[in-house]
Amino acid sequence: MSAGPTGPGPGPADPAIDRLLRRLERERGARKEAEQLLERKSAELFEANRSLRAFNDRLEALVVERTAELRDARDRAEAGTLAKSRFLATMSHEIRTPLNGVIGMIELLRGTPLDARQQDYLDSLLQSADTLLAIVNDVLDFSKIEAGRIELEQRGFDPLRLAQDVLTLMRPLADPKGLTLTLRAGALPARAVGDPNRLRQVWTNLLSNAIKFTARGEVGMALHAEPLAAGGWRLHGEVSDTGIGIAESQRDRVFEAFGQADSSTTRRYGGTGLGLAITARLVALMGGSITLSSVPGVGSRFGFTALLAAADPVPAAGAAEPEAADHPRPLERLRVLVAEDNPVNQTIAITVLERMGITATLVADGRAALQAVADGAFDVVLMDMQMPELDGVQATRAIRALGASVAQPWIIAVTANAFEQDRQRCLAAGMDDFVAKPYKPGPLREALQGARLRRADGPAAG
Amino acid sequence: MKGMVFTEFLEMVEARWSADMADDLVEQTPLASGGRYTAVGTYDHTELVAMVRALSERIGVPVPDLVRAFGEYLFGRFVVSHPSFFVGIDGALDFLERIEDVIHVEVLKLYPDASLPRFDVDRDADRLVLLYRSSRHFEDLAHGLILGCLAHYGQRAQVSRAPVVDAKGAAVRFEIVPER
Repeated sequence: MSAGPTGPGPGPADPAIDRLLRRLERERGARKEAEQLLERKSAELFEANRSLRAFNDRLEALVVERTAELRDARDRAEAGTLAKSRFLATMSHEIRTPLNGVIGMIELLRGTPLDARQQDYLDSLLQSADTLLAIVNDVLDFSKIEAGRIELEQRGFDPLRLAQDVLTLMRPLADPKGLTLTLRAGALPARAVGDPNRLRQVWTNLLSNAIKFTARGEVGMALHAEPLAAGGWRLHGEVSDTGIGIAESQRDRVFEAFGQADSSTTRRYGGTGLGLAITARLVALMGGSITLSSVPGVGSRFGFTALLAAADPVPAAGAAEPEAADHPRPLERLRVLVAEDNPVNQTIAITVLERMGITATLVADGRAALQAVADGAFDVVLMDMQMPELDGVQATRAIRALGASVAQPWIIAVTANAFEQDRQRCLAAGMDDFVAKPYKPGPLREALQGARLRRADGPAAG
Repeated sequence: MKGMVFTEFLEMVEARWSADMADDLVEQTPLASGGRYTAVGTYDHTELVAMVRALSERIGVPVPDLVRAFGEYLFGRFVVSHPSFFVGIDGALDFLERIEDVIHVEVLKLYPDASLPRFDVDRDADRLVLLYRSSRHFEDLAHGLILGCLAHYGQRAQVSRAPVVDAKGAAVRFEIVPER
């Protein structure tokens, strides 16, 4: 063995050992740096986590706060809408009373000697007044629907017959413009149960709209009913036209209130912009929906559905038709009591009746009406609904409560409200029929001719 | 530059030459970090340049060739250390095409402070063009990584390379045309 360092013991001078030591030192340094880095990253992550959590908490608090604010805002908006609807309903009702007076007076004026120019003015006046009344009725209708104050009637009717009636009604609007009106009917039940008046309103709105916006060509009605597994039918109705059409961007708006596609439309074609809004809501009330497809310049097609219940298996065909009057008789022999508190309407009623040869008795409130029926014999009472002392319904109940101790008259409600609830209330109180205000000669004559007398000693015997 | 590039470089030197060679490079090159590299750290890229230059002098291989060879080696290491980058990518050109949108996104998740080179990719039916832009001018490293990628997927291809200047400035254009 040679001299020199022996054994494996490290010597400070050994370059290999020295190299390894330096390498070890570098590796340890690297490890410590990595550990420091990790610690720093951990601390950063912890901080990031904590601030995220704080942010999240703040966000949740904010969501709660915003939700509460939104709910408040929504409640306020809903309360506001409701108040607005009530206000509109009240206002339109208040406007309608004097308006009915105006229209009644125009009718009376038409019956007096007039020169051609006066006649012309009067026609324009009547037209404007009728338009105004239609607008007020639309507003009233809409606000009632919005306020949830509409109930649908449930009674049997013939859906095809109803469509045909509507078509006949629309002809006078379509003919002057040279438009073709068509009706296509598919499978339909002979009778179904629903609200024929409201369904008629839907058809009428869609058709009058189609006619209004179509200058030439055709307006078509189509309907069929699809039987439902649960019983009853889904009625599919459609009104198509070859009119100006509705741009795609406007299609959603037309069903909104005052949402005519273009505000210039209102000026050019008239209307309140409520017709389609009312229609859409009525259809929804009937458990259906409304759709619109349109190509501007080519035409539009409105489709709707409505649920109808099945009618009783044995339709009482005879009973459904109004019976002929027991005693057809000259109107002038009728003894008519008019219960009406508004002086203008009093004048109109009395004058219209006079022209039919009827001399009527007038009372100004429900209590006086009750007294008059108790005291004398009347065949027919024209009963205003809103009167001081006793209103129409209360007076009718009181009269019916008198029973056979008096001559029970045929009571016709004179009402500005065509709503089902009002009708039901009238019927429940014992009224027999309705005429709409204003007093117009035609409908009033029909109502009087329809009166059936309860007394054996009718006027024909007198 | 990410520490992994440095640790992998030294490991390559150890594997291809020797541990002593690696020691010498670290000890005889002036390095601010002292050569205490860790994969999770970040270091000045000029340290890598200095070590490569020193290696080049020792073994007589030009710097660009060394850097390119390191790029090929480095790609193989990525396959081992970050297999998740390769999931669902079946071809070399698919991988290269997704460097910006997928791979760099993944890298940034791990190292939010990494400053990555920018690649503009243009691919059509029979070639892929990569425009490499970096203030560090590691186009040789990029070249090597491309070759490493082709090798990993067993894709034979012609790779050509040319400097270009466009609206965004100077770049190096790699064109990769696979052989059928």
